[in-house]
Amino acid sequence: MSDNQQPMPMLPSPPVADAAGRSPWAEAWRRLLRNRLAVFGGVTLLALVLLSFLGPLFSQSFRETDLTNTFAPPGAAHWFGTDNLGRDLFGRVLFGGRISFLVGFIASFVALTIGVTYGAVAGWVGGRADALMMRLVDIIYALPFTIFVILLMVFLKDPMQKFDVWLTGFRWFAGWQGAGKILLMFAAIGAVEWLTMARIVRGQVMAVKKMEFVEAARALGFGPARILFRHVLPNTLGPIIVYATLTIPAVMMLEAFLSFLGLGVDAPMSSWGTLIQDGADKVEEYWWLLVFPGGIFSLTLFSLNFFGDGLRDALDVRAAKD
Amino acid sequence: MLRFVVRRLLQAVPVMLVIVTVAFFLQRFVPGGPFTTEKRLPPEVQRNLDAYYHLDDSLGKQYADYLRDLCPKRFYPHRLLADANHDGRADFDLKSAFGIDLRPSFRSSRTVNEIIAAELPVSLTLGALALGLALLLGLTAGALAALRHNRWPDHLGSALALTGICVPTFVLGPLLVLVFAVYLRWLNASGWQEARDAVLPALVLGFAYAAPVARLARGGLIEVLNQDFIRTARAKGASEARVVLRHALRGGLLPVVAWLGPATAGILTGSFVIEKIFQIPGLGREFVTSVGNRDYTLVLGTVVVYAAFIIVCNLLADIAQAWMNPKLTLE
Repeated sequence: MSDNQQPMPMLPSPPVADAAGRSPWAEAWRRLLRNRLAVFGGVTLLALVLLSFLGPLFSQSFRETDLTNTFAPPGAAHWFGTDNLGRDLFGRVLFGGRISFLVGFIASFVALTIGVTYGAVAGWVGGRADALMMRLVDIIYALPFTIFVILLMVFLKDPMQKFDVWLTGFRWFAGWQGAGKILLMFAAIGAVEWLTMARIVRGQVMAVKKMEFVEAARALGFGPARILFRHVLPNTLGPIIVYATLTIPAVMMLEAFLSFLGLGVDAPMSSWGTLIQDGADKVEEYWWLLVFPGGIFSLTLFSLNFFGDGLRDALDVRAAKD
Repeated sequence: MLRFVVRRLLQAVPVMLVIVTVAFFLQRFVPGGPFTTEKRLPPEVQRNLDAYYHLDDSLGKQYADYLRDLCPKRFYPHRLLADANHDGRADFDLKSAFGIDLRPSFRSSRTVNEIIAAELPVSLTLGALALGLALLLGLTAGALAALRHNRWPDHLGSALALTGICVPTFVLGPLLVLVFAVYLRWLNASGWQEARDAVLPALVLGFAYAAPVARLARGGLIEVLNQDFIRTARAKGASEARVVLRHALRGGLLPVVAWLGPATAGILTGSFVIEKIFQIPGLGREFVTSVGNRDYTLVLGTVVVYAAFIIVCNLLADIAQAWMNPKLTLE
């Protein structure tokens, strides 16, 4: 795909002249609140995140095994039933959500940081350096990247396990078995997902840098780094935010995909991907093991998509959709 | 046209080289190997194995030798479909067609060429069925949504497309197995023996890819249908069917065609999961297993085949795009 089509700068639309004189961001917020699906998505998402992160603090039943009560169907005592070791599935799903959200947020943040910096520098510098940098992105785009993520996940497993042992040797990190694997996942997924972000930011920066206020900043004698990061980038924030909300579900999907293949999060940690994989193996006898983790995972993706689409409409971003 | 194709194929050479190099050295620089087991092998066995797989050569020599064997030496693509074994199916023999030798596998008694010949057609069949289904479902839904813009078919189509995006194949697949194989007993839960065994896998994979097709087709068609030449066609009394089929479809489907190249990569990797769920003896499942086994040559061989396939599909998608859109030149 060529990128000779420069998207228009996505400045927040100029404030509507009314008595209150609202800022463009306040205007976008109002538009977002009027979108019922987006509000539904946002509220569901918030609830799921809070439950995942706070729920396991109150109940540890997902760790407790009860071999007299294995594979109990959903009921009053265990809302989602229990698994092969008698652990409460509801608690396991909440705890799994913690890992899934963590991977989703942090890997997206990694991708965001790399993508924004790379794209901004390429768009700002322009010329040969830009052509070279973007050519590199094109080449990486052409690689079968999921395949490389799989290779990385498998081949770096042993070094990461050593790192794990080293890390958990410290008193502070004593309970963090499996953290190394998850760190590896952040890096591997982040390394895949930054490409589109770099392209979007580059286009935005190229459009914004020709504007008068950049000229003004230069006339005031500001250095290039200050102009780029303090003046140009904030004006490309809309598409960045929108694309970030679309990256999170993509990352969570990739995490679940890897975990489903048995390449992601290992026991004793579990993510939604590993729970789904476990459920898929046993679905013929114990349907709840698949239906609940899968259902919650899909609900999360639905809410993220609703919220992201709502944000896109509210911030009036068109180009960030791919 | 020919120049474009040749240039793109030449550009593919460095990309392939990068892929092979990264995959080759990534495997070697990491501790562990195909023969790493709990018990150490007796030294003489280890020596024989190393000699057989040329692991006793220097790494640089192994790399150079691998590249030499990988280089295509002849070009008889029709031999891929020949049946020299007389077993009633195409041999898919990369060696006799292109002179590509992917070496013996480390973990299997077969060579990588043989494994690919046996398993790639399975994956290709699955992928082609899924892609066909995705196009059929997605184009129908997308066109209906565009023609009934903002009415119930549009909303229904968008909801279905979102479902396809948000319910991953690894959730949908086992659920459909539960319903159609376990409860209704219409189909087998897994395997790849009868023709009907392809139904569920192709359906699940196809549904996931129908969603983006529907979205892209809807968006493209809505944009085209609002253009002046469509109004002109209508004003001249063309029937609605003619307006859509003759005038709007070509431009409206451009986004779908542009997406087809990257989509093939997605369908390939999507088949990793599908082949695992339905226990299909395809290359995707083989790849995931071989990576876990550290089967150096099999990993490299499958990566090479996948990469070549993706490059060719991207090329075909670009050609189709230029053919459909006269404004684009093949540059």
